[in-house]
Amino acid sequence: MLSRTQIRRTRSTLPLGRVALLVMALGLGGAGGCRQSHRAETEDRAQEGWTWYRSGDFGPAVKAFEAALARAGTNTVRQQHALYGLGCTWALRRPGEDPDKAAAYFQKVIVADPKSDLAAWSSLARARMQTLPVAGEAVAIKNQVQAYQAVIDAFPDSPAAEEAFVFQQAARLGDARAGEEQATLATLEAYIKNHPQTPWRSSIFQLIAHCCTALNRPEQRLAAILEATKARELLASAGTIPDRRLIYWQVATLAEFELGDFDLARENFRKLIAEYPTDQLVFISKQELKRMDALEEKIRGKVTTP
Amino acid sequence: MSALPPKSAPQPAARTPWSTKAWTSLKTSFPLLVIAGAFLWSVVVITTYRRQQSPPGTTVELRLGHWQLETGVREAFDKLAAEYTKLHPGVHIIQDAVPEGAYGQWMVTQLMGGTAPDILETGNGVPYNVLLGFYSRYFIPLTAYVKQPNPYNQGTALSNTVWRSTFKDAMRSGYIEELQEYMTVPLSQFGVRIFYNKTLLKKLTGLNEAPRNFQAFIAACERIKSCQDEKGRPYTPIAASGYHMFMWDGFLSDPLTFGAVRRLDFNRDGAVGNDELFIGFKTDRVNADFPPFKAKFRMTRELTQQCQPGFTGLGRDEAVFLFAQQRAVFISTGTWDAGSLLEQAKGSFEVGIMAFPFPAKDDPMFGSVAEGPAYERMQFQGFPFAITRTSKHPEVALDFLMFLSSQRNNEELNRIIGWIPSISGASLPPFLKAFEPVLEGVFGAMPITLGGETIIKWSQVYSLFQVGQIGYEALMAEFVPFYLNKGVVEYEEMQRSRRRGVAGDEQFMAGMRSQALLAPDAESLEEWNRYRRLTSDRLLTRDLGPVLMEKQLNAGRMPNATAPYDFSPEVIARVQARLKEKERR
Repeated sequence: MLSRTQIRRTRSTLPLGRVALLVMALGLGGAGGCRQSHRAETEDRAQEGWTWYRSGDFGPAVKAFEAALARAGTNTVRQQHALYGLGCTWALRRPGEDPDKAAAYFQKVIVADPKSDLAAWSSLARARMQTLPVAGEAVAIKNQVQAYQAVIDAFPDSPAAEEAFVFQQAARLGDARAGEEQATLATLEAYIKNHPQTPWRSSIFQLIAHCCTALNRPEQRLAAILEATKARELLASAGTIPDRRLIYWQVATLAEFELGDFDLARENFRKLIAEYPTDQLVFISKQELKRMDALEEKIRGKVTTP
Repeated sequence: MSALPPKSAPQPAARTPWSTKAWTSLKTSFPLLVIAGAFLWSVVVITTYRRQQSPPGTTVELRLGHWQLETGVREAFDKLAAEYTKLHPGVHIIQDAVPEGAYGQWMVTQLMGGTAPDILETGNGVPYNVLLGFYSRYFIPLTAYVKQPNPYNQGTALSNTVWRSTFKDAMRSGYIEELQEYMTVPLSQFGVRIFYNKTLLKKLTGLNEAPRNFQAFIAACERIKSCQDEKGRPYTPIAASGYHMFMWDGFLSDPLTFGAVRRLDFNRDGAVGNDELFIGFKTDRVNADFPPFKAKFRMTRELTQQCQPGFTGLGRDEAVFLFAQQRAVFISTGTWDAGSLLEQAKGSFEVGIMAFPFPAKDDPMFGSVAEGPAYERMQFQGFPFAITRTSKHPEVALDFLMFLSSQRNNEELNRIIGWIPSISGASLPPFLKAFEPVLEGVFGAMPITLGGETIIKWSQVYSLFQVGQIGYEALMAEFVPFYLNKGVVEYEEMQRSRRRGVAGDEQFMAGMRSQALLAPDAESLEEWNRYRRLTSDRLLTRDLGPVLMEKQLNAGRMPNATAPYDFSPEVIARVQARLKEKERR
């Protein structure tokens, strides 16, 4: 058997040092190239951190955010960006999330400049952490409402607070047995009256439409669907053609089966057929057009027959 | 004696000669030299290989990676690449055709190593959620380009049509909903039909063509079954296997259940989800006696009686073998198998291709529920290609994809391969005419499983039904109580799974929010709009549909409730009032 000293001697006869040097040289060359390309791709390490984050590489994301924090010096905005990135990564990485660590990072962002935008976004991120379902079970509505209210109270005029408000209302509608539709509808209508230009207009009208479905108010629901669609198309990226097939379908079937407004139903079925001629809803749209004709024919027959 | 040097003096013999030193050095450096040598050798080989691939005068080398090793694909790309080079001298296109089994690993390695080809076929080898990440990290979005006309369509009817709209599916299959971007260019379509042995059909039934009507088809099958070959073995009308049954189900018997849409599509999205079907059974709006469901199983039974015994336990190749051996007349398969089936039949028998034989309106058994033929489209648009971010010439890659997806070239590409073109107006090879998709029709509406246990139970009892061991009544008597009981737990688990997905969506949206927060002023509004749109779809409204569904479930038994597509008395009264109002005007 070889002793340890012998093993050490045997090893020392191999040019391990030189091999290691070569490998390191090649590796460093490659890594240097990678780093350079990252520098070219991202303005700073925080942005690099987000690039890693978006591709699901949370380890490198944390390192990049930590490096950004180390380089931030006394610049509060840069510090906040790095801390916010670290907070999001530790809150949302899967697996390996650390909610306590994340909350601590978000708190640091808030402390660094309590009036800043990123403080508001950090506050919302903390609220979202509190409202995240645990093991597939929804958090109680009351707790969700409180979490969002804290953001609204602390940063009343910020975009984050506006988002918190919309999430708060959606949370109220998230339990089938809660019976919150009537109250939420009133809150949403009041909000849209006071903030007609809100960037969340489309989402708010979607929530209103939901309330109207639950409360069986088809006319109001139709109006909300149309408003939501109009507002949503304003959010569409330049050059993209909005997908209206389900909107046509929803409006047409709502008009046909709940409002008895066959003209509106026909108009929307026809738009669907014309604009999406190969869609799977075309066949049934044509059938519905025939059904409406047949029903009207039947009614006319009864009306005109003495 | 004094001439002897003192013992302590240095001994010249003790000095190592230079040759020994060199030898020792060589010995110790040997592994290093081997590594360096291998490295140099690989550099030389790769450089030489690449040089050989690119002819002199090449200024732009474009690489295209795919996994299609079927006959014709590489030849088709080579031909189209040569034509492209004629138009653009200096551009040379090289294919990297990688076997399907290794494609995922190869693609991941190439993308991560930054050495991926300029154009890659996507969709195989990595799970969809991983592919989504890859799309955003490694591929160039095509959204900005799809709204412009394809210049290679000049002189055709599509010359003024935007690129996106030149595709038969309006490029919907290239659009990635989660990213809200067009990412891939689909170059082919696929279809499923029935292939049949024309020669044998004529010999056994006297028919020149296969019947297009379901009852006539079954009658022909019965005649085939009653015949025997020269060895006394009975012929099999339909060659099938566990693999083949989804086609018969999907194109023939499932569409009979379409009537469930009118009864159970509570959210009115035009289809029945497995949650809606469960609520339908649970609230007694439908049951095993629902005519469209009964019809589906009756048809399945009629079809499976025409297959070889024990077919559910057989593999795909065994069914193909039976057909190729001329012991069966019909087999269902897709365009992907068309070439090889025709090849196997060459010189032995004539192959016919037919649509699935749909019941006529006056069919005594199925006419009342057969509302139309099976709708065929989305699932078969494929052969998608995307441009990688590491491409040195993304503009040339884009141009080449436009070239391949122009009407004329897409027709030529697919003609050589034997597939269906993805571009409108591109003509089909004659034998594929029968694969022209039916774009107006119905689809199945009976997704009867919810989760693990109901899936297992259903596959057990349905297999027994398929091989004729139990009938429809026994099938439903065995399954429905189990479904109603276990379904409650599985329905709740479905809701939990949906909520578990929130963390993934939160993760994705935080990334989108960072893009908006860090975007330059000029792009900021666009990024925020995108963020809000996706937040609305993926987070804000995700619980609304399930909440309404749960309300339906909580409402309890409602066997006589107005169905989502029924006219209630109130609605009829409204229609009446509107008509009167119109007449008065």
